[in-house]
Amino acid sequence: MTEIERIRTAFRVTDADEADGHLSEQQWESLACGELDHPDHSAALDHILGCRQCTETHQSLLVLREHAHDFDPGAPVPEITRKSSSHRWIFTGVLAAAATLVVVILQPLGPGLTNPGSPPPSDPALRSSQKAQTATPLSPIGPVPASAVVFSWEPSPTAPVSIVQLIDESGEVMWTGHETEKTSIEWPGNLAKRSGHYYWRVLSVGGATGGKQASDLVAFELTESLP
Amino acid sequence: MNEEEFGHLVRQYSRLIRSAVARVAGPSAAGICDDVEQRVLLALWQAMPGEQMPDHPSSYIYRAAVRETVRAVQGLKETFELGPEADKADLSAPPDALLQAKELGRAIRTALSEIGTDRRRAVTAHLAGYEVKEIMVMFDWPYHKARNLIARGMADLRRKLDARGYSD
Repeated sequence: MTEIERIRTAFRVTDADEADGHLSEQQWESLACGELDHPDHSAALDHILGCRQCTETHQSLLVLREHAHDFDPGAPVPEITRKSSSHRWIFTGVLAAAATLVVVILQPLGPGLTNPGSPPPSDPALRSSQKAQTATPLSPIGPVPASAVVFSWEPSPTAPVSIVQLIDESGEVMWTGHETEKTSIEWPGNLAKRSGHYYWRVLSVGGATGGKQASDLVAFELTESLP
Repeated sequence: MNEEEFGHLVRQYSRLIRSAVARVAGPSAAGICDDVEQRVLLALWQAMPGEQMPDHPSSYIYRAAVRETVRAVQGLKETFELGPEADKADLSAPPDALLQAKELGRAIRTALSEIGTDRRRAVTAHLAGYEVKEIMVMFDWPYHKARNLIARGMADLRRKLDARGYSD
């Protein structure tokens, strides 16, 4: 028996001192339909977690709640689905905001552009100690014709080995490249160049921390499709 | 909705409740779950109000299904003299092993009462067998928060158990 199994078994053979105060059928119904107010909801969950009998009832109701909507449109939408969906939107929004910020910061300081009175963008004084170990994506940024897309970056000064990650519009990693000491690579041959919005970043391997340091995420848009 | 459609919906709910009960009754309780499915099927039909079929019985039948699930799970021990897996383990364990488990269980409960609210809730739910996605929903936490609270709460719990001499 593993350590966690031993702890779980021991936990389950002892009920907390909350054997009283079980939820009524009406309360179970309200909980399963998402109708309990916050304080009542919290109190119900605290009781459920302290009472094995109610834990089992609750776990069964979670199965019901998760699957009833599959065949009965009148049943509540599963909270798990709603939550995943809302977090997906939040994640997409955060990615978009981060990418916008990167574009705003990097574009005026990109190659060939200088900002009078400011140090060059690669000046370590501009970066935190952690950022000093990450690579700097250079292109693509913003709208790019599919025929011209090439990933290029300035490698981390402390970790010259890089891995490129390509991320789709919904935040899913769609491709991760091999470790390379190059500073530019072509679009992966097994991926069609479909027009749309993408993100990419560079993972710097090794360095002082020994792990992988991710660069900022950069947004770009393929303005045309190519097979 | 005609009676045939309603009957189809009732059968789907009965099968779903069977799965819901099976989650806590354990895989060895297939026969019992068959009985539960039959009882629930009957109960859902009987729960129909009057002879008139409502136009949209879905939310009504979902609520009835919730009640029947609660009754089915709570009636497991009384009706079928069978408890969940943990109970069966209790009965088969040697008395000294059971005593030790209960002692450790009490130490776990005490240790849990000493850690922060969110970590305590996360660990308690984790030990009770909830999945991470269920813990997220229960407490309205994002995925990473739920994972972190479980991991940090378990580390707290282990430290406290170590301090009490339950380190093996």
